[in-house]
Amino acid sequence: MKKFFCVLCLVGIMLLGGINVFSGPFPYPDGPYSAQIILIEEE
Amino acid sequence: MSTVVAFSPGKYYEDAQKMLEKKDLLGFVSKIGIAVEASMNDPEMKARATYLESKGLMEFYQHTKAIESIDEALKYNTGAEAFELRKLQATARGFLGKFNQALNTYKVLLDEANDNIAVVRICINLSWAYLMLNRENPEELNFEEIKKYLDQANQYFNEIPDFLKVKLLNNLSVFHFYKGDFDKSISVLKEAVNYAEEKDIPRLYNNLAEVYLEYREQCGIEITSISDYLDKSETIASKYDDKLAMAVSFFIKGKLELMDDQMFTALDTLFLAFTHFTEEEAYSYSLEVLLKINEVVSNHKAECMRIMQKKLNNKARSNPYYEKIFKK
Repeated sequence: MKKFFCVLCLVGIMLLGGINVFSGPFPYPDGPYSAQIILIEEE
Repeated sequence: MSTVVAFSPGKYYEDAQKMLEKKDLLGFVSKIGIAVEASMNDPEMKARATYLESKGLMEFYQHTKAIESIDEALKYNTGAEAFELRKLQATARGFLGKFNQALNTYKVLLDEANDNIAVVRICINLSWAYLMLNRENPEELNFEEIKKYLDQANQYFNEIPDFLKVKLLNNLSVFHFYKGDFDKSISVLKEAVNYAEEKDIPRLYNNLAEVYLEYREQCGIEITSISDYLDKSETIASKYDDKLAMAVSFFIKGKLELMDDQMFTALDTLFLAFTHFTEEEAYSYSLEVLLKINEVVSNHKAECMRIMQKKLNNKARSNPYYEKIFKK
């Protein structure tokens, strides 16, 4: 329950903070790669 | 004698190549790691092994590790290989959201490119980085720069292999989409389909569906082909086990169902997309889906909120990447 509200708060903050909900087709770079993926990798 | 064979870097290099073909990340990392270590007294083998390690890590979307590996590989590789490695490193930075850094490197590489194919590849990447930068920061939209590089690549269109024609036309289509010329965007994407291998069709069909979806939203015209493109995309992506393309297809399908007021079906489809994206470690997409779900819930108050609450708790918590997504 707590986590659920954390999620909603986070999403709400991001919406209010102006993070864009992206839309539209994706461009692709050279190579065998799919569209952009941002990984949150361990340092 | 057998000991010498067992620790031959060449053997591990070949094994790593096989693991890369099988898309076995752990196997690849393990084999190529030994090949790199075992080639310390053989500079030529070291160059090949570090090069393969860098390419492999990129193919597995291990961008941070790829950037480190490329730094190492650049100590041993020169000429065309070094050029390719620097291009890969810029692309890895782009995937991590550092598009301005990527653009700077691509511009240096474009000046150094000594054949037409290399020019086209760099121009495709420049258009990709600019379009992605603009996607995330629409206020920085720079049509002139994007058009300049797309035009530069396009002058060699008849000389380049089909897989590059597909990428070039796809990015040209996205450019027209951002300019608001949906008809041109659709016609260019359809041209790209003519040059594509079957395995690349889902990405193009997903983009076609996305353009048609926006077209419908802005012009209010019912477009039946959106579902057809999504169904075909899902079928072909499933055949090639392209889970990311399947997830994108689900995401667009969910948005289409929302437009058709099928809210509960749409929520199910969006959760399906969310699950697929997180399984593929596509965190930025996961976030997009969650934002869309939040948008739906905000518009539909009490009953929907309870359903969403239950589902989000069950599905998000059981997802192994849940903690990672919300750790930032």
